[in-house]
Amino acid sequence: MTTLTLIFLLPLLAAITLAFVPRNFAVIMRAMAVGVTFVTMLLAVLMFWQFNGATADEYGYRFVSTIPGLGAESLGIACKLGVDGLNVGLVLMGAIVAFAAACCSFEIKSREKEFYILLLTMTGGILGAFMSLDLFFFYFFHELALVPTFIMIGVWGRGERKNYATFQITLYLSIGALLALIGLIALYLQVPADVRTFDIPTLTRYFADNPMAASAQNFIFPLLLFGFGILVSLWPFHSWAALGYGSAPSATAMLHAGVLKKFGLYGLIRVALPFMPEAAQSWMQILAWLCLGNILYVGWVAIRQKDLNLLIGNSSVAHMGFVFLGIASLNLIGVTGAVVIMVAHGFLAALSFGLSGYIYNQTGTLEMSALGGLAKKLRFIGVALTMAALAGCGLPGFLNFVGEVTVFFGAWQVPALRVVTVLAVWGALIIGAVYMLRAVRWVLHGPAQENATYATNAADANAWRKVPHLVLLASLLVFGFFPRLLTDKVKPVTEQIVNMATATSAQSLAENAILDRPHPGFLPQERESHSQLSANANGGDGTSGFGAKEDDQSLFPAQEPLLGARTAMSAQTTGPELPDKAVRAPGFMAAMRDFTIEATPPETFARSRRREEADNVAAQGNPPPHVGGYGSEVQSANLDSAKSLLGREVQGEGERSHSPQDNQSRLTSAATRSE
Amino acid sequence: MNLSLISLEMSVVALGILVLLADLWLPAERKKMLGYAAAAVLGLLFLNSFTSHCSCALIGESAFGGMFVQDGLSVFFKRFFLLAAVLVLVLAVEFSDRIAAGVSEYYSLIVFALAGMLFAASANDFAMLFVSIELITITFYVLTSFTRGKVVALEAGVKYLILGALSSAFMIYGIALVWGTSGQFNFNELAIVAGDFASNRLFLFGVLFILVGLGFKIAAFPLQMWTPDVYQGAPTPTTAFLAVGSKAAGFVLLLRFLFSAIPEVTAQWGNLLIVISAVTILYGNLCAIPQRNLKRLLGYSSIAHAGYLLLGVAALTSAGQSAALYYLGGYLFTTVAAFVVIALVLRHLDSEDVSGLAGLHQRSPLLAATLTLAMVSLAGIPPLAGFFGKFLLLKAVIEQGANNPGYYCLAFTALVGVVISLYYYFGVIRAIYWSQTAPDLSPIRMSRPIQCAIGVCLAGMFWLGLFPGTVLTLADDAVKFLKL
Repeated sequence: MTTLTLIFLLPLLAAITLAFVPRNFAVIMRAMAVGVTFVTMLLAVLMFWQFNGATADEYGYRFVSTIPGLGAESLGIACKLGVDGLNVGLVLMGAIVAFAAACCSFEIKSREKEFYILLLTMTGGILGAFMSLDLFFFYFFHELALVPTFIMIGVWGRGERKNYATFQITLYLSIGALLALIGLIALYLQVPADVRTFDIPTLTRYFADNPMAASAQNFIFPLLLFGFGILVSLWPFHSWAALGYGSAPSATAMLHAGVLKKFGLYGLIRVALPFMPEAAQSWMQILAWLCLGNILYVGWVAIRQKDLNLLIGNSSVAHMGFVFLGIASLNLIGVTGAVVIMVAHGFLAALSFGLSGYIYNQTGTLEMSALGGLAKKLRFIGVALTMAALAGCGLPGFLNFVGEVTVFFGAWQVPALRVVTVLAVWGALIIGAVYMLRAVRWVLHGPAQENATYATNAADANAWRKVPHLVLLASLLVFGFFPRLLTDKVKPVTEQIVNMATATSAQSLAENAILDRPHPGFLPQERESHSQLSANANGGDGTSGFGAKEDDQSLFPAQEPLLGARTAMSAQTTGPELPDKAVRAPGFMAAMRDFTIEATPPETFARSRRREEADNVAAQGNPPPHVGGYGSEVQSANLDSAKSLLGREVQGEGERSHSPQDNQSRLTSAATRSE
Repeated sequence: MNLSLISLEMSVVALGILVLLADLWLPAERKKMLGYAAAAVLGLLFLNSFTSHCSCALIGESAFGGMFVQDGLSVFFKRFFLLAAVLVLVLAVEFSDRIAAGVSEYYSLIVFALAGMLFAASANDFAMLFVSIELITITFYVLTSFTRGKVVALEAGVKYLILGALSSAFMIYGIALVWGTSGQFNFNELAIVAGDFASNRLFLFGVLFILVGLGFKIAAFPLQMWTPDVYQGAPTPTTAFLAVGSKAAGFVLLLRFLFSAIPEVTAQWGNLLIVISAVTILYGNLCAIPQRNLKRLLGYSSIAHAGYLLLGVAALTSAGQSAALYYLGGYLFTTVAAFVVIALVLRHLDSEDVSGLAGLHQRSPLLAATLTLAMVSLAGIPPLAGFFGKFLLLKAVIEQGANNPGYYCLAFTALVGVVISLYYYFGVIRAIYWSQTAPDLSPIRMSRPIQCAIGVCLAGMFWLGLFPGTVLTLADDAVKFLKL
């Protein structure tokens, strides 16, 4: 039994065990839930730690294991689990949040047995959904986690509108899930009957080799986009979220808003983008404008909230807008940023809901007008809530900042998205700050309400109660200061996905730039014919496709790939023949090097700093690598200021993360191809 | 004459007669146990059907001049009916204290209905089809109004009798028309000539009338009128057997008739089946929303499930047919589980109002969990049988979407139906766990056999949901014998 299997089976087995414990032993149930999620968390951390050392299979997945017996062979369904850079962070985040949620469940005072069974089922389902490499079980586990959510809100929820909230969230999310199910089945049926499978790696390779028909893409992509979109509270399908979270018990809100909601985003990135590149490109503009609905409209709604939980719920919807923006940018930086926000927001949402749950337990209300001065009584909670609010505003030092900035950089690179990006930055900095800081002021500062009971009764968290919040805060800060722990793992995968998602234009660039890295699934002759086709389709310039610029791989083996792409592109604008010549001319390569920062081995931080300094001297303050625009003054000016704002951890984050062997192989392939 | 082929049916009929005879000599207080004995015998027959000693092993043979065939499809359904009858008999024993007189007759009627279903599974001829369907229907007339002291039961019996007789009349008229135009009674021979009559109005009317008769059995729109009243009024074991056995018998006959007897005509009727399926799903689900009576609610939900099953028929592919078979398998465990809980919990209540479930999670956690899981499975949520069945049905329908966009509409209708159904299924769950006031909190006592039956149902739900491979292979093998 591998680590991965254990991580997802432990909570489920614990749930089954709990079913046989007599209901009088509430303490045992609680201890068991906390203990099991703790072990799960440790295993997930271990798995995350060992990730780089683990052997990857031919598709790049690690810790791959199959649970025998589950599924139906004749339909190509098998319970196959595995992680790559895209979901390893999500699994870790899910496990940590699950532990925190179990810790925060002390507020449950009735029917503990059922609650902890549902909580553990939900945990197992969530983790299973994220680590499943089989589309069927991907959906299956998500549903398994979703249903406990409904029941938990209905039974242990709070507020007068609990029943309404329960039915609303049930119907809304079921519609979303079923739409996605129809999309996934239709996707499965695109493969010829004899090789049909739900195996994601196989499907990925299949659709890379045999692109889906445009008509099928145009039918399936909207299903997945809106199906998953409803699950992630994409505007205008978001109205279930705030009320649902506001009525849910803390643990449920933490797990759903933090982890389960990311399922839809994960599905979009893992399935929808790479399998249906053409439809993805045509829908991204729409998605970008919809995400403004999340960021601006829901942000405004959040400003008006009087209930702390509703405010946090709305802010969590608003944050989803940034992820959608990152996805809509369809480039390496944007999608990587989207994944980072997914992880960051998981911690943040869990932290916020955990804290608001604690406050609710102490004061009996979350009406902000009835609260005030809590910082004096609840020192630790006050500090933690302030930090959560600041993280929500995107303060550097927290992982959210890394993700949001990366997303904005990625989105800015797409000319069609610049207006959206500007508005989104405004939404992030102004609106986010307004509602977050106002909440902090109302709840924590000012005088305590005179006649309120909490003024005398409220007690700060004791050491035990602090644990979940500390764990979540620590996660946000650790990843915030060392984002490369995450981004180094994410980037190779998002790179592959972005390549597939922008396949047509990438291929035409490849035609010009020659030195692309072969996609694992492509045979050379096929690639030739593909690039021929796509070059014709795009008029050969490679810039006509939406979001089609940043995807070429490494013009120069030892350099930042994006810069390579960008130079290829800007070179193209000067003349169609130039790149070919340029690439072959050693002088051009040498000149290009001056504009780039060399690859930094992921393991040494100090070294990378020295290099950066050296490079900065050499390049005379040229823009940081991941955004470096050769020949784009507007950008470099922007980026200079951005760079000074960011500090080093972000700078490192955009850099390449390929192993030396990888570089070596590219060098040789480059050499052979240029001959 | 190949009598060994019908040895299973003969044993079942013999069992029914034995139960009737035993009634003469057994003392009154032991009569209740007859049900267990009958269930045990049927259980043995069920297990025996997997060995080579049973007539079920003689696949591909036929008897009575081709009227009676034994193939994969019939074997699949025979096992299904046997299992259903075992569970229903156990439930009937639990229910027997509410039957004033004639408990043994009640058991034997269930066994005779089972015999009718077994014959229906093998019917390959209009005569056999009609005889088996009448055997089922007439026993059910009696079973429905068995608690004749109750007005609702009598009302249910009368309604079922009148509408059942009407649909039988339609059916026999249809059979006459088909026979009159084509001159064929046997499905195999009809299949050869059916293509020639695909544009013959009289023949098509005949087919339509036969479909009316079969549609009555499966409670498809617009022949669903009897369902809620009969489900509500009939004794709970009868309702369970009606929901599972009778519906499945209708489906096996429908499958054989549509896909073995008149494949060419069926191929043209895809749109009709799509419409019937879609309307049945919507009607069942929408009407179930305001129901407060549990059995009535399950009646409407069984209409909706007939619609889901028709998805597989409407798909006109073997994938669709096997999906329908698989779905029936899941439906068996789920529905029986639900009716077992209803029979046990609402024992002392006159009406089966949903509010009677209040406090069930305190009275009996097992029953509460069982009913919850049954509702969740009916709603089609993993990891239970209903989810995988719906998944297969949707897959089969969407697969056909490339040929006819109507199938996409059908898939979306099914989706809407599922979402609606969540509302009332969760309403039941809510009544179990949410309701604040519970008048009666006495624990519920259960006998061992009924606990075993519940265990079988639960295991079946999880097994079909998590490990679908085995049953899926059986279903795939079964539908290979259909011509379309």
